[in-house]
Amino acid sequence: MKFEINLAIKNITGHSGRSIALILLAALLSGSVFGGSLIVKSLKNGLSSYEDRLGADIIVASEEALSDGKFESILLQGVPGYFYMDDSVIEIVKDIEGVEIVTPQFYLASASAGCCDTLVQIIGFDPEDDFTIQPWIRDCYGQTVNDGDVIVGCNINIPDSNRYRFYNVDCNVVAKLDKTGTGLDSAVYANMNTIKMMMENSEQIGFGYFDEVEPEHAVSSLMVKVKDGYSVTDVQRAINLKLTDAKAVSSKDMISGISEGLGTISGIIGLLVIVIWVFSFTILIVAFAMIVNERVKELAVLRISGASKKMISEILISESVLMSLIGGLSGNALAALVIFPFADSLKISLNLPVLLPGSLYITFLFLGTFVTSILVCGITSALCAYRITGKDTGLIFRDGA
Amino acid sequence: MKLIADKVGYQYFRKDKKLLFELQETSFEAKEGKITEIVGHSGSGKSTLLNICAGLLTPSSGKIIAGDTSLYDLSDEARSKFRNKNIGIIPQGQSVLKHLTVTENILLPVSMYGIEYSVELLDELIEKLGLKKLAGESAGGLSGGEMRRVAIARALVGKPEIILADEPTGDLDSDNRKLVLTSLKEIADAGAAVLMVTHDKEAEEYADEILRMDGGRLI
Amino acid sequence: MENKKFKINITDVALIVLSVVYLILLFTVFTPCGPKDDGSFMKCQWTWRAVVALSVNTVFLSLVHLLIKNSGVKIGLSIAAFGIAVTSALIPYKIIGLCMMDTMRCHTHTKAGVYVFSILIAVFALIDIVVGINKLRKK
Repeated sequence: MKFEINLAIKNITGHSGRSIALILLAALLSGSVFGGSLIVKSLKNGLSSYEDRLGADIIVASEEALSDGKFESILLQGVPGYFYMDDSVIEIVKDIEGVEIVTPQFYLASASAGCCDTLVQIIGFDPEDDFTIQPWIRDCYGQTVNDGDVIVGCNINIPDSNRYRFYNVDCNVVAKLDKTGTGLDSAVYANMNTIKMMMENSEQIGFGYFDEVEPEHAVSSLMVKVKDGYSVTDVQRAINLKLTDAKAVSSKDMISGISEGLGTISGIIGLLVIVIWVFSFTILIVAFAMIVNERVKELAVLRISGASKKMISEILISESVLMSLIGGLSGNALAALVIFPFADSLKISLNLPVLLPGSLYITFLFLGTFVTSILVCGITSALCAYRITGKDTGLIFRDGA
Repeated sequence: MKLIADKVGYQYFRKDKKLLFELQETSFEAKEGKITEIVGHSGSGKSTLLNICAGLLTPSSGKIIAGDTSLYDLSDEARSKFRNKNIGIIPQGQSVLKHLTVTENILLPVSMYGIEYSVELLDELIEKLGLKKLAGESAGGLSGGEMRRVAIARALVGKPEIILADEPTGDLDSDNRKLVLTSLKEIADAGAAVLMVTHDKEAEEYADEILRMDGGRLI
Repeated sequence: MENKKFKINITDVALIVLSVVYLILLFTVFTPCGPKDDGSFMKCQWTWRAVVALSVNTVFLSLVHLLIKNSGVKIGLSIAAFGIAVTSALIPYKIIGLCMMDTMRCHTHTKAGVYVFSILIAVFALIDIVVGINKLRKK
């Protein structure tokens, strides 16, 4: 091994206290940026995936469902819920000028006993005119969803038997959807016929879901697509004027609340990362300067033994690069170790959609932050090395003696 | 290899540009096979002159010629290599890398450029300087005398032709002093040019030539 | 060398601290889902119990690792701690498994905690094994 690197390793292991402090600092530098960026990117991904999955310009649901947050809980958290309105609203909305397509959706919460470990949101869609769920399903299941078939969200684990039983309806799990980072990952999707079978059974079993609405005329929400050239706000206003018990909200309004929350959290994380960087960078410069000053005699011993200024610089830079290599790697690994397993907890505690980026992005981010922290440490030590080697060794002995 | 100081001068300024110390133009020769001693009071400029001779302090004027090479005409890299190969330096005070073992400290100059060294010479130096029991130990736990002996072994392990020693007997007991001076004498007898800076009266007995310094000049 | 002053290494401390904190967190933060409405437990409960049993073993191994001086025995203990950590991580993943939804407590708390601590314990045990073998080789 080259003398400079060999000595740098001995210097690191020989001064373990000092080395551990610098390694921790490098870990903080790299890990904070990697972790912070990963969270911010996951939140942004979550928002855009949420936007994609909503798919409609306007959403119509009962006033109660929209005002007490039930609807948002289903979409964001996957908290099972149900709310219904009479399907006469479909015709009312269809007749409004500017409306291109209207498709109903049906929400049913599974009973926890008997079938599943927990309550599951079941979402029914009408295959004839659905334009929000089917394009998503098509990405991973190219065939028609038949009666009795269900497709599960990414968070639901498929049993070995490939079957789930909801309200005595034996369902065949045909596919698992891609992750969206939203509450929709925790839902089960079926066509309207399958849902109707479940509804009938639930009535027979004695679940009082449909106290106010006739089960055969019940829908939970309407997804509305606005014709080109019409303003979403105008159409939304027109729907609200016509409906009495239901309310129309635009997707943009639903998203704007989330994007505000995301902006605040991204801002806080960004600020924290900047504060950590400024502190760590300052401490790093001071620490390197102090260490180099403390080691003036040690470096002078190398000079009298024949080490050139270049060699001294190489030793100092090798030391800091090696330490930041260990620090950066362990800092990033630790950040990954915390963020990956706890991503779902983060989603629940922030009440925001969280979708981790792809492995290629994560790899680049990992390497990018890692290399940056090595560069920062390398440059800092190079500056100190330049300062110390600029002085004649004779003067070091003279001043230091 | 002969060491010649040719009209070497040096001026040392404080940060406010005020002249703090001046080494006036000095010329002398340290011959092969001889011990040349520079004596004088503290602050007379002995160590400054020695550092200039070692290629560690660029003089304001004049030249240092080792053999046929003018030291300060070389680049830092070339001068460092030259020093590594030809000049063994025993500095003032404690000069070991405390986190390395005694043997690693001694082998520092040869391991630096991957130079082959004589294991017999290493064993001989370790034996003669009384470091055998300490060879594998960390240098951090050594006494002042032991550290000085390590510095001597380190200066000699590469068989340099010029030896520069700055107060090699300073703060040593009489046994250690004798050991160090005898070692330097043996090296000189083997053909090396030894230049020693000291104000130890006992050391004068070992010198072949004595130069006196006062107020930054040879008298 | 064996008669030298008793020295505590970073890995000694890391293993005992991690294993004790892990055990405490298993009973406080990394608890599994509660019973269903009918009072029956889901399979995450069995996963949790198995992980707790293994983690008690890890605490015991780490304690002995801290107190014992013999390098060979230390390596053996670290190998055992490494194996237990890997097994512990595999219990929620494959061996027993967890509840049906990734958003359930056993996924968000128990699994996450088990993964983080098992990996950390495995990494420190591995470092201890490598350092220990190097030390033995030097001797």
